[in-house]
Order: sequence, then structure tokens, then C-alpha cells
Amino acid sequence: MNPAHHWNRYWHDFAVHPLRMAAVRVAFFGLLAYDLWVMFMEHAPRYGAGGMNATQFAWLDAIAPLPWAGIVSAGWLLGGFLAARAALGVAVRQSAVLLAIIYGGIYIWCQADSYQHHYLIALLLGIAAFLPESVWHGRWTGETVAEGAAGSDARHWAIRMIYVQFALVYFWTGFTKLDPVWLSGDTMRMLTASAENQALMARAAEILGTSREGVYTFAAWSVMLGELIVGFFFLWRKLWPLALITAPWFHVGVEVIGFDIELFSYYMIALDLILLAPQRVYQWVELGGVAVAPRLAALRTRLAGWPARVTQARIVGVVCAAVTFALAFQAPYYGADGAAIAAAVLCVVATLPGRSVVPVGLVHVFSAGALWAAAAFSSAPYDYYRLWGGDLKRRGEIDLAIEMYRRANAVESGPARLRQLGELLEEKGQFDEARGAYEEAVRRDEAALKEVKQAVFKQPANAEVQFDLAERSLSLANNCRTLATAVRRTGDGARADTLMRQAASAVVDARTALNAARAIQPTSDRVSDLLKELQRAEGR
Amino acid sequence: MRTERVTKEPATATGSQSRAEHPRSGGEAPPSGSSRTLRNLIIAAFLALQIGLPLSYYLGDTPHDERFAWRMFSPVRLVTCQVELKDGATGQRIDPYAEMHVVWFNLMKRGRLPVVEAFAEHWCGDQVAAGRADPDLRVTLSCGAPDERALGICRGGPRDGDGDGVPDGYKETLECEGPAALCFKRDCGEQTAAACHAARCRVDLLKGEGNLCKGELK
Repeated sequence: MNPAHHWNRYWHDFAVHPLRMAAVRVAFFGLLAYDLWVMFMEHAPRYGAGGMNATQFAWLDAIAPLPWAGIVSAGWLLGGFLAARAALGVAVRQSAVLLAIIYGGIYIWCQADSYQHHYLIALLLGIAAFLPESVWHGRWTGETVAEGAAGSDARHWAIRMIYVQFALVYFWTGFTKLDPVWLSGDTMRMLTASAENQALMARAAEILGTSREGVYTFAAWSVMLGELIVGFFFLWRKLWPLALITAPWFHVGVEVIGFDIELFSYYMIALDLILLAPQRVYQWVELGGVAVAPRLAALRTRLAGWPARVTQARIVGVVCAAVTFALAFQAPYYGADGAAIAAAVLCVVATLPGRSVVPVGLVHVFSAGALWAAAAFSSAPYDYYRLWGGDLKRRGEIDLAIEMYRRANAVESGPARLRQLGELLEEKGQFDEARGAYEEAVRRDEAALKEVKQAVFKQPANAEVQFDLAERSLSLANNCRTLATAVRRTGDGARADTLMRQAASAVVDARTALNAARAIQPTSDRVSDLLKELQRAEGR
Repeated sequence: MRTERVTKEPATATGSQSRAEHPRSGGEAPPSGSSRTLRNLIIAAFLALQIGLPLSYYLGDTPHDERFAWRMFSPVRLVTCQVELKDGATGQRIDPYAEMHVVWFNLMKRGRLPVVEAFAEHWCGDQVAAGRADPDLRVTLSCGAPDERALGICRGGPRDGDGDGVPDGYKETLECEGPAALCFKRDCGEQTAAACHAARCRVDLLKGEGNLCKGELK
């Protein structure tokens, strides 16, 4: 056989069980939607902040306009919406193409989020954009021939490219570690410097009957060799089982050690398991679904033909688009209006042919509902405005910082950025408003403290709630002191004294809670910061 | 009112794919010669990029910029840089946090030169807009050497607490299997500990010798 034949067979005849790709669709796009709506949004205010930007490529700096938070927010909200509907199986190809443009475009536009995993997601989206719609939708025929041999298997060179991309990532990551510093275990020791990790390593050393240094060196060599070898395992189907029992552990380890690399480990664990799982897993799922699938297909067929008249179908489509718009528009971000309009247009476009209007329309409505829910039930909007306010404050843009802190405090009902808002209002000479903010800060802290105390009462042996109690008590102490100063300025000395006593009492509570927490979990990463803050509070 | 009826068509969830588009059901039609050539070109370009970009890192001279090289958890990631921004005309230090988002300064502290250049363009532009004819921005960007953790002189600094003539870092040097004094000599030759530390452990990416407003990146 000549090399061209091998090449063609390797790339163009590559096929996998369709349910494998359906699982990739659900996991990858589902995680991406969550990632964009919950993890990414708080970063949007970085883009173009203070009129500065650096793109990924020098040549682009000269021509790219300055990004701004509103457009980036709109892009990520819409990107999450596209990912959600792709995960649900609607217009996957179109969504992947648009996502590749939006996600990849923002990634290239600005270096502010330039971790390796952002690059990997951008590349995977670029690859996914090549895959035809039919690849993503699974199969329920009960075929049991070898994977890759069935006529209905998902067959495309870009599927192979996903595997090769993973192979290259693992290979280069292992290659990086062919470094004396890494192999000595020193980097691992530095990366796991927290007290909790030190305790973990000490335990591992005890179990293995070696020194802590020995554990680090062993782990460093294992990771390097493992990553290098796993890269090759991804390239040949017969070696996938070996990759399956190796690759996910790197990412599990990263999560156990607690590195903050956002959702990267989750993407990798999910994709490793799905891409490498034995074909019989998908055959079992397929066989299990064979009985149900015809009934679902019949239901889908009935829904696909309803409403029968084109005009009515289009009305249903427009109604779905209107609901999609209304839901997405509720997200409390700059740029939500643009994302909502785009989502509604996408809904209209998807339902315009008049077929499958109800299921397709409902998927758009559901995706918009998920977008709204991600904002309503996460701290993403609060973090978005809190961090934006902090940046503006540092750069002296006081009026805008006040606006952002007000928005942060409006979207968060618990303790928020009220003291910071009050301080800025004082800078502007608005003392009454500042005092109102401090009063609200104390009120919210007291309410939160009540809840934490109830949690401590229910779970006195839970170190985390004890740490929460210490943290909240210190916050209350700070806010009481700040309010006392503001109150004293108005001449109400008695109230100020009461507040100072409340502050002192809160500090005592914080000490008690921290001691209790340390007794339960002495190696917690939360100890050192809280201890420093407590010592500062006690010294006042 | 139009009364045409919609044909019932199950197919995929979008209802927009025809069988002709994917005769092998789960994939795509066998590509024609030119189509396959185009696909092969895309594959080749992808491979070239994914092999070439990381390779360019190892062959290039920007060890602190690890983008596109898949260097997760590399020792270089742990290296930190000291950054100082100065108004060259007045000699006053510029508060980075008052001038840019913290994320940019953090990237500078990782030795990301393109970010320094972007800041220069931004700051100098602002100064010109404020009426200064000839703004002058000086930046010093001094980073740990990429292999600093492997060298005893870098790990512990030039300090010799026990007075044995060998810097303390050699007590736990990773690459030193023989006597510490020999390793110190191997790394530093006849240099003093301080001179050796300055020469081997820090990389001055920018020495503050050029006006960045004029594009003098030095």
C-alpha cells in the first residue's frame, strides 16, 4: 500500500459509532454553555477596560478595533445560547460555525483570557465547524458490527482531527515536562504548596513507604511519561483502552489538588471518557434505545408535521422567537439586548422552513430560559459588576464605579459591595447616601450571619461553616466600624458607641469560630487569610 | 390565506437535512478528487500549525510567552517578573493599577512583551492626546530565568548563611549530585555569588533604556 492510501484510510475512512458523537455533542456543548454563562461572563469587563487592548497577534493590533464589555458579553451570552441548542441537537452545524466565529474571534481579539484551555476550546470549535449536521445525531438501529465498519457510523476526517488534536495536546504537554526542574518534582511541590496538599502528599508518602520528596519525583516522572505515551494512544483505535485508563487521571489529579483552571478538567475528563470508551458501551446504549426510539421517532414525526399549515407554523415560530427574546433579554448584563435579538432571529430562521416548528422552537425557548436561569441562580452577574466596579475604582473612574457597584448590589441580595459603594459616595461628598449604603451593609451582614449561625448549629463539626462564620463575623465587624464613623460624623455618638461594641463582639465571635474551624481542619487553605484578617481586626 | 400543507419529514432534529447530503447516513458523501485535495490541504495545514507553533516556542527566543505551545504546568509558569513603569520625562513611577486593568499587569508579570507594547501604545497615545508633544515611557521587565529552579544560585539567592563559601541554595540543588562547592563552581565559575546570581538568574527583557513611545523596545 502506498502512503497516500494509508493517509486516506487514516483520515477519510475514519468512523465512530454515531452515539459517540452524540455524547460529545451533549457533553462538550453543554459544558460550553455553562462555561460561557457562568464562568466567562465576569471576565467581560476586562475587554477594552481603560482603552487598552492586546490581540493575540501583533499584525492584528494595528487593525482590530478596541473591544468593549457590551459586545463581549453579548458574544458570550449568544455563544452559550448556541452551545445550549447544539447540545439539545438543533442546528448543530450552524451553531458550531457561529460559535467558532464568536468564541475564536473573541479569543484572538484579546489576550485577556489566554490560557491554554481557551485556545483548545477555540480549536475544537474550529474542528467541529467542519462536521456535517448528520454526524451529531446518533443512531438507534441496533447495528452491532465493529465500530467504523457500519455504513451508518459517523464518518468524517474532522472526527479523526479531534483525536489527533488531543494526541498533540497530551504529547506537547508531556514534552514540556522533559525538563530537569519538572522531573525533580520541584514544580509539583510548588504547585501543591498549600497546607491541605502538603498533608495529602505526606499521607501518600506514608502509604508508599517513601519520603515526600520521593512522592513528588515519582509523580513528576509518571505525569511526564504518561502524557507523552497517552498522546500516541489517541492516534490508534486499538490503543484507546490504554488511553482510557490513563488520560482521565491527569485531570482528576488536577482537581484533587485544587488548581484553579476553571472547567478545563471537566471538559477533558468528559471528552476523554466519551472519545475513548469501548464501542460496546455505545452498542449497549443503542440496543437499550432501540425499543424506545421508534416511539420517540413517531412522536417527533407527529410534532414535525404540526401545525400543518405553513402560516400557523410560522406563527408558532414567531411566538417561540418572542419568548426566546423575552427570556434572554432578562439577563442582567450589558449586551443582553443584542444577544436576545440574535437569539430570536436564530429561532425564526430555524423555524422558518415550517417543519418541526414545535420541537425546534421549544429548544430555542429552553436555551433562552437556561441563559436566564444561569444569570438568576449563579453569582455571575454579581461578579460581573463587582469586578467591573473594582477595576473602575482603581483607575479613578469613580462615577462609573459607583454605577457598577450599585448594579452589583442590586443583583445580589446578600452581603455585597455596599461598603465599597459607600466609600466612593463619600469621595463624591454624598454622605447621606454613603451612610445609607453602610446601614444596608450591616443589615445584610446581620441577616447572613443569622443564616450561617443556623448552619453552624445544625453542623457544628463542619469546618467550612465555621470558617464561613468567622468570615461573616469579620465582615460585620468591618461594616459596623465604618458605619460607626459615618454615624459619629452626624453627631450620634451613642449609636456610634453601640456599633463599636457590636464590632468588638463580632471580632470575638470570629475568633471563636476560627478556633473551632482550625480544631476540625487545621490544614485548610482558608486559615492563613482569615487569621491575618482577624489579627488586624483584633489590633484595631 | 395560503393553505399549502407541510410535508411530514422526520429526519433529524432540525428537520433540515436531506438524505442526499449524507448518503452513508452518519457521515458525508465520498468526496470528489478536488474536494478531497482541499480537505487534505486543511488537514496538512492543521498538522503543520499544531506541530510548528509549539516547535517555534522551543526554537525561538521568547521563553516566557508560552501561548500556543501546550506547556501546561511548565516550570516557566512559576517564574515571576518584576515590572517597573516610569515616565521618562519626569522620572516618576507610573502606578500600573491606575493605568490598566489588573489582568494586563499580571500578564506583564509573566513576561508577556506584546502586552507591554500594547500598554506603551495606549499610554503614549493618552499623553499625546493630553497635549504632551514627546512622551517618554521607560519600562524595566526583569524575569526569573526559565531554568532558575534548577540552579542552586537561583533557588536560594547569593546568600551564604553558614559561611561555607557556597550559597545556601546548593544545599537542595536538584541537578547537583556531587559536592555543593563543585556544583557552585560548575554554575558560576570564578564569579562571585552576587555576580553569578545577577548573570544567571534574571533575564532582563527590558532594561528601561529605550523610549517605548518611540518603539524602542530595550
